[in-house]
Amino acid sequence: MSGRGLRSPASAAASLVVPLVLVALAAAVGASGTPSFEETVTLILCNLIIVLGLQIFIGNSGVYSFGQLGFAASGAYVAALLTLPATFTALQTPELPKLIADAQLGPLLSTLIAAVASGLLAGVVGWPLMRTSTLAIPISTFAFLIVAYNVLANWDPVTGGSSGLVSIPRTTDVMAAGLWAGVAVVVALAFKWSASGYRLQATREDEVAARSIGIGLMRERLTAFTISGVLCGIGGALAVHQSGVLSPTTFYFAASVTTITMLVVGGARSVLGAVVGTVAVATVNELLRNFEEGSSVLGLISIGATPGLAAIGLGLILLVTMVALPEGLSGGREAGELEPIRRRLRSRALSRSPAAAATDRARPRSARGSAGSLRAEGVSLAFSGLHVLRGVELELPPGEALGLIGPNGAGKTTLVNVLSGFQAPDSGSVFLDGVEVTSWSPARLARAGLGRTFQAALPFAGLTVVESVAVGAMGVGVGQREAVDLAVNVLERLGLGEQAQHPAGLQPPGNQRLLGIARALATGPRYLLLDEPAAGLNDEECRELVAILREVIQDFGCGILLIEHDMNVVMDLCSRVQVLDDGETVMVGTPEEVQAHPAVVEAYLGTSYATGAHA
Amino acid sequence: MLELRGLKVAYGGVEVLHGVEMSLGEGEVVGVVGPNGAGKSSLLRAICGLARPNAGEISFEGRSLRGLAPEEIARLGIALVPEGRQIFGTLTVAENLRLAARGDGSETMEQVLERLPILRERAGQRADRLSGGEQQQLAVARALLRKPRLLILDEPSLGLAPKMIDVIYGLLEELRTEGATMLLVEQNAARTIDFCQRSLVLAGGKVRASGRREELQRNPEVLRAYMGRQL
Amino acid sequence: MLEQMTDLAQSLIDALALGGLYALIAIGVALIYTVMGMMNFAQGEFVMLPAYALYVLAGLPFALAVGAALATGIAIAVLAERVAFRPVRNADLAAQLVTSLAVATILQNVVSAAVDARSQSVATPEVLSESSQIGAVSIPNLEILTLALTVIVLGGLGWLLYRTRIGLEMRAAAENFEMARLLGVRANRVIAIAFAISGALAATVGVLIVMQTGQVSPTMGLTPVLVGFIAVVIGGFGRIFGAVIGGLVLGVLSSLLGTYLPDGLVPFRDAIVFSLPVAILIVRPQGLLGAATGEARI
Repeated sequence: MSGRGLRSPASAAASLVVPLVLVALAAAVGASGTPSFEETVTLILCNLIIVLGLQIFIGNSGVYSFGQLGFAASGAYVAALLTLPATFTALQTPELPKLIADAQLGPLLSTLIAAVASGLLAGVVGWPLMRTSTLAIPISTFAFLIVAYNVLANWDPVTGGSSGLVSIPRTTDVMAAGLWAGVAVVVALAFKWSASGYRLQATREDEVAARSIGIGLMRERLTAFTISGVLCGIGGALAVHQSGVLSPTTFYFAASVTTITMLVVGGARSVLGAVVGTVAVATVNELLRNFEEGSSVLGLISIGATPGLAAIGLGLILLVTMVALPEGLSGGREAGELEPIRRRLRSRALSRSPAAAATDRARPRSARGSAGSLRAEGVSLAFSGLHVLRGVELELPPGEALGLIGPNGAGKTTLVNVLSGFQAPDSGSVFLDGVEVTSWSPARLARAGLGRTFQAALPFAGLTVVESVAVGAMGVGVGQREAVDLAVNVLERLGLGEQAQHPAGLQPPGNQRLLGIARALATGPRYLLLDEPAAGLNDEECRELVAILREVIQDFGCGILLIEHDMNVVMDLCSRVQVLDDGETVMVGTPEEVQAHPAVVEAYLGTSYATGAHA
Repeated sequence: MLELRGLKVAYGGVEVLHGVEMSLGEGEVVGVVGPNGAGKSSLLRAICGLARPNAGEISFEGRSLRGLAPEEIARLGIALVPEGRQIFGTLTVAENLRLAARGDGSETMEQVLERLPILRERAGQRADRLSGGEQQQLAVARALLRKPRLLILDEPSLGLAPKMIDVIYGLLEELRTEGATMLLVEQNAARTIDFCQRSLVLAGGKVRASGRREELQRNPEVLRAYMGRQL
Repeated sequence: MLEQMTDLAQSLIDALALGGLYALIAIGVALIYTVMGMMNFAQGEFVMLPAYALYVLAGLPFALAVGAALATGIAIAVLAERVAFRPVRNADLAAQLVTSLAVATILQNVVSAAVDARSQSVATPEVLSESSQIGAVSIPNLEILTLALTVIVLGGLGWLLYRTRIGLEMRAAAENFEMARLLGVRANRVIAIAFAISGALAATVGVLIVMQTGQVSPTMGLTPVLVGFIAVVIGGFGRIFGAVIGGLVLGVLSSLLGTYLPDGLVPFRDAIVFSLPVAILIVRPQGLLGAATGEARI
């Protein structure tokens, strides 16, 4: 089995069964169902397309948008206006531009144009919205929904105002809906498994770690937002050509809640979840609607008419899901990832493609032996009145291991944060191979060859081991196939090859730290900053870690800066050690020099130990 | 008064305490020293209810502390002076103190302000305007106002100038002579081992050495715990 | 000239009154956010349900009905926290947001089912639809009431937060929840009280809206909650004072646009008002006053 994709062909095939099933079911219903059943199924399929649109953005980014139905509305209106005969548009929308008013396009063409229009709208709206913070996006997209509603409801001469449009040709049949739904599923899966999709998922798993491997938050979110807009537009266009009527409230708050409920109940993170959720919730909805007119249970208890019962029921289902089953019915897994299939596939290790095997020692971008270094000059940083760093200097050439030690609160992690762009110093500069990079963002630095790990492992828990390493390469622009080869290479070096298809979140702590290192290595760094990689490791594991890091320096040629408290690791690996205390450099020297130096001993243990009064 | 048995605690998914045993009697002053990453903070967090142990027992005056909320543990009489002080910067000094005082506070407030007159001076100022040393005094004062049965201090000398450390330890000495029960966690081993009757050396999540002051001062394990194998 | 000045004065007072109303809404949202970290979608329903209390109790003396409305607001807020929000207290932002959305939907539809989906009329005391003459300016009594209430609420909130024990606990919890608990502050109590106050504020807003429009509808809470969210965001996350500013700005803007927009654009007033905050966010992503990080959130 080649390592060209991130999943085995069998697993991918299993997931792609879903769209085929959808199309087949649609055909079956079309052939044998009653007209009303056919209508119901058609509407469910149109809903599904919208929910898939939601899944593409919400599921992959982990950020909720409450405005996607604004794009369904735009798609619906564009498609409706394009298919309404000229006589009708003259009556309902007198000020509509003649070109559109006279147009009477067929269903396919109008749907395609609606898709493009919605996509453009999503791109335009998304560009400012995706630049706002993660918490502001739900709010600003909610505002967009209300603005869209407001415009549609008040622009009478063009949109028909709050009474909406009628007599729209009813051209969507169950087969058309089924085919479009199948296409939508494929699009959603293709996006999720693309490099762009993986980068976006990384931001969902851990925003900080994602930035450290070169991923641009805004760009990835905007991409998904736009594609989501396209799908929602298609769903809206198809739906309106099934019902024949359209008003601003069709795709407004109630529909937003319903579609979000469908997504959440099914499990937002997977496409299968979107499908399962839509079907489940729609079914429950229909059942409850039947009760709304009033009925009797088992002919014994009679329930009076309760309009709104369905909506209340859905609200309760959403609430219970959030509290009791946050991952939804699918648990965030695709069809090919369900437990029985997974168990059978797990035993097969992921092997590299032959081409990669030939260039075994190949690594993408580290250039061994070239001049340059990572340099900090006079870096100072104060925080709430406390001086955390005072005029610190540091130099790390490629191919060397520099240890950074010091007591708690000395400023070691802060220094690494400054070097990697996560914190800006009050004064001083950072130079990467001669270029001043003090103000660069972490993502930009990653793309320029600086990688780092964090004190907490920050794993991409929802991705598999190989996915979370491959996304490191994808973050710096490597294509998916090459990224996978690279990832497998790195994993095997670190002894994690067997774990490739396992979820990263379930790895034991020692492996998770190694994964963090692997992920940083996948970005092809010239300089690697490791923050306490040995924390929580036992003696045996520490020795292995030192061996691995030595190999990494040898093969990848990168310079490693190592914050560590475990002296054994530092002494074994580093050729030089820099000691920080209270924000200042106490000394820089070889491990032996540092270990014996009284100032260092004093910094850790206090004066009496340094002067040898004890032991 | 306080007893820990087989305590295992994880931090960020990594297990940092691999089965710690410890006991503390009334009126004792016990130190816990060790390099960073040894698990000292996790130990304290577990006692105070901020971290849930994976395994093991914590009992205080006969009651099990596992599963109790932090505020319940605080009301049982355990007061923590946390690492980094964590005073409420946006509240005034007086407000910080008032928050801590328990009901019948006015008498204790006077006593505390007697010990730490600088706080009386700065009563109306916002707490984030205080220097590091003054903030540390505020943090200790807050804990004292709770009239605790057990006072726990997490790295009280962190980031303080030597003179300030003297002031703080002077206060602790006063408290010790008054019979306070204290658990003192520090990275600076020498001062702590000197100060406390008994200490534990924690490294790599395990207790590497423990004993009375005189024993530990002769124990090479202490140096090894910090500085690693001698090359 | 005098007439223009009078008109201008009246427009400004109209604007301030609406600004005050929006500020009241914003405080309710901000209070829950600063203490609990949650943006509460159901805040609109905390406005809507008390308004329906007025409708249901239409026969009673007005003052009594208003009292019942206040009680309703407090009760529903505390109940929602206990039943729906406490289980997800430690979940991530998205989960909490969606949970509050669920609560909002349930409440909206319960009212829809119990009463009617369409809006209903509510009779309000005559005096409120009249105006009083102050100098050359004629101000609707309702606006005087709104302005007075805003000032009273702001004053009362300031008193509560800065002069009472519970206010002290809330400010401490807003800055560092964990440390507050270590000092014995009961988490559940602080959060419940924040919700109770928020519910009372929402009820006040609901009553004021009924007095202005004479109508209630199940979806009347949608605009207030959006206003509240946007006010909190443009004021700077995590700052109650910022939310007040945000609410004032939105209200004043909305009112002035209503007065001075050319006729053809008037129907799009809401669209314009709700689009502008996004512009602010792009230029200044941390909000007008900046997000509160280690700085006073209240």
